[in-house]
Amino acid sequence: MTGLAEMLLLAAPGLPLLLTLPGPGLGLRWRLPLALLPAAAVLFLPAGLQVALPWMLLGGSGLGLDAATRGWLAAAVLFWALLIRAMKFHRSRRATTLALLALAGQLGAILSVEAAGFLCFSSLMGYAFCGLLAGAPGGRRRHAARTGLALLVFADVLLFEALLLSSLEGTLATARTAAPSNLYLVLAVLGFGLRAAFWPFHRWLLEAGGGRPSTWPLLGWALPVTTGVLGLVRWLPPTESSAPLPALLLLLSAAGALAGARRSLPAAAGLLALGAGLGLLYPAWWLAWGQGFALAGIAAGAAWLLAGGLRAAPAEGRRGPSPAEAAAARFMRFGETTLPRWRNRVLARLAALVPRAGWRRLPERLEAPLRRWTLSATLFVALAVLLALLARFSGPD
Amino acid sequence: MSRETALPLLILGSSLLPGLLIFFLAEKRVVLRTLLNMTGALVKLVLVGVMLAGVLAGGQYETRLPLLPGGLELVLRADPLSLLFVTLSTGLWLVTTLYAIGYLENSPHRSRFFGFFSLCVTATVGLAMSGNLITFVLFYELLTLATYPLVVHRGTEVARLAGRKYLAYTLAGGAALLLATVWLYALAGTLEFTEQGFAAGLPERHRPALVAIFALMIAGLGVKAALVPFHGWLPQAMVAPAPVSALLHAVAVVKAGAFGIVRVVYDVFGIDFATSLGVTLPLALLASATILYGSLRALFQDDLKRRLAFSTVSQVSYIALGAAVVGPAATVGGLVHLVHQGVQKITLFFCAGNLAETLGIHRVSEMNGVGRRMPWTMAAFTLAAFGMIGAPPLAGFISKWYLGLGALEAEQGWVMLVLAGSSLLNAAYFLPIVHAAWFRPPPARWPDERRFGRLETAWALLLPPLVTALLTLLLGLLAAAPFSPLEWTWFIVEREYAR
Repeated sequence: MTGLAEMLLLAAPGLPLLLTLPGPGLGLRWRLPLALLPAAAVLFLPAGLQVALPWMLLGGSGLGLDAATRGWLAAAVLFWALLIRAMKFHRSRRATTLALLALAGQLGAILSVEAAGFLCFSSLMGYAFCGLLAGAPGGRRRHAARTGLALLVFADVLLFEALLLSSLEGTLATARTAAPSNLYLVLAVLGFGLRAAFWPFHRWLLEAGGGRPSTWPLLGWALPVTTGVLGLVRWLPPTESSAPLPALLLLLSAAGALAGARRSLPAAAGLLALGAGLGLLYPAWWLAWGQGFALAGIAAGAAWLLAGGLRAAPAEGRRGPSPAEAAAARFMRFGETTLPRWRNRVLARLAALVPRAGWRRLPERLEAPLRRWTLSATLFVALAVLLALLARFSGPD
Repeated sequence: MSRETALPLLILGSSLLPGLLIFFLAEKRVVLRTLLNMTGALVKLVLVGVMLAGVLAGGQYETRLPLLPGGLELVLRADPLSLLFVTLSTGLWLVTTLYAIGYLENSPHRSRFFGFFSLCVTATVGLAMSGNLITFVLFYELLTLATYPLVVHRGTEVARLAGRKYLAYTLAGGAALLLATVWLYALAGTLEFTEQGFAAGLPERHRPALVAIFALMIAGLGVKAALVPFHGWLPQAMVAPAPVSALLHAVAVVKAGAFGIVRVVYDVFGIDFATSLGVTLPLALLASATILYGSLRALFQDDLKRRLAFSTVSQVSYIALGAAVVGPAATVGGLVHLVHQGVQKITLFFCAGNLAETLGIHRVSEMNGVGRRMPWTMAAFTLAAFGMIGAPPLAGFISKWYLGLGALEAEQGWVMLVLAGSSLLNAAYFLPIVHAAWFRPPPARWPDERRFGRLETAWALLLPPLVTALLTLLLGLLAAAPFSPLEWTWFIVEREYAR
């Protein structure tokens, strides 16, 4: 029974990964439902189950199930069951593959018992989600995909640095450290805040949700927001001491989201940021109730979204590029056109200083016979023979 | 001659002999040439495996031959560090040989090409197994001579100019290295690599000279390692065929330079002595500047191979950075990146070659929708690109992890900023390629399409990048497994830092 349970635990993220490979006999329609089955079965396994993967990553990783994980897993299974039915990923092989990768990523992140594994799986989920957006119809969603990808990369870098600090200060087991520095806390909060599309980095999620079909907002809520909040819950707070600085960041984000647009997807995420920020100020409360609060918030947000109570698209029409995008475009133009022009000008001036003379054609004339390979090979062998002779006759008498 | 003495020579001979024979084969002797190539590669792999098993069992493999008057010998020695590079070179030579056979099918001058190809690997393996500095310099120069004909292989004016530039840079670098070697021999009286560095025992009065020698050596090795400002030859050398680019960037030339820097820091000067001389920080700064500069230049390249070339300029400097940041974790990060960067970069160059050969694509702007036409090639490219960015759980993540950890342990937090900046730049120049390939609509027709039956390209071109892409995944995912490159580098570093 234990063996079967462990296999189910491994199959939860493993089967979706396997099903991304092309294979005969299994149509696209059945791949996602099949991929979800092990995760659904894992819900009924006893808590405390754990599978160690000692050869993986940085000195070992693993998957496990406890009471809190079961709640997150149940939410994920429910979300995916709804999404598979509503979004019809099977209409496209690319969408099916990306959905399978996103599913594997999210399930792996939920079941991971240590931070490096969580980072791996959640990154996979994030990139796959951006891929789904990029392949979706509509210029707005493709724009959202590019923005989301840039933010995801930035978040990954921040979380990587946080993980390094955690490893140095404490343990990778849950990225909780004995004496966390403010830097670690700020990096972790920023990283997960970016991933969860907290204000002011929320716009791309709104863009992803607009237009048809209307289940795109649920996909955004189920994947990046849920996994980002799960990261906050898992990684923070590290100890029972309050952490005012990162708490302030979260509270500011919540205030901005709630003030900017009530009854919208970012506002709902802002409430979760509010809870996390309060949790950093009152860690005893967060340690006791944080998981429940976050799960309840995720479930409530999803229900409200499905009921049509949350606005999940930008209110105004399409705008031009953001200041960051305009700056990036200017930087690229500078590097692709202006810099080479300056470089060529400098090189031309330098070349003008060197007089053209017959001696410059000498290397070419010397090179011509070397290009005949038989001569080159012969010279090489002759060099080897000479060295051997030197070695033979330069030894001690 | 005992087995322990003969094995290093046999390993050299397993590529030297087929190479010399191939030179004299007529162009139409395709089967015999392929047989010689593949047999040599497989025999070398087996011999390296035997040597690996022997070293793990405590055996010592060393060959000494008199070379020059005064007691200077040609020394080939298998220590854990040399085996890391030898194994990488041998394994990647096998896949590159297979790839080159497919790539150059029906091309002219194949005998010449494969002859020098084999000589190049001979020189690389000899350099890796060098037991002293004079042997290292000898094979370092032989590597230059063996690779020049590969760079100019196409025979065009552009190729000849690139070859001339390559030769000018590398011979100047070799001259600097030779000068430093002679100078050091005059001071130290020996050139044997030792675990704590043979220059470490020199008197205090030689410190200024030793700093100058270190600078000369780094300059000489920095040419092949493409350290700024000695990197100029590398982007030009991209005119060579894709197997040559793959060999230069992943297996032989740049790795030889980086490997040489590691040898100089650890086995010539010793890490403690190098730190006391005050040379490690400038080296770290130079490597960091190269990392960021290479990534910035890569960002602005539309030519795919030039973009990958500048990426190599950046990525190889991680190895130098790991050597310069004092501490076991950083050293592990630098050394394991020797392997990881090689596997990832060779995948990218194989894919670039596939795109050029199958569809006539040479520029990033021509890659829209190519993922639909060549899904396996682009899947390999995507994996390797994410590995270069450092996305977990791929190989590049492991290297960057240990480099970052080492920087924190050595209280050089600024290195984390370099790593973070480099990762962001890597993403900036790789992700647009991945996005365009998979999510943009393809053009009505490709620049120069060839069909290969049901496969997206020739099987000899498709298999190698798939193998190396899978390795990219496994090297990261199973990094903590026994006998992984990561475990092997820990074995090397624990010996290095043992007091």
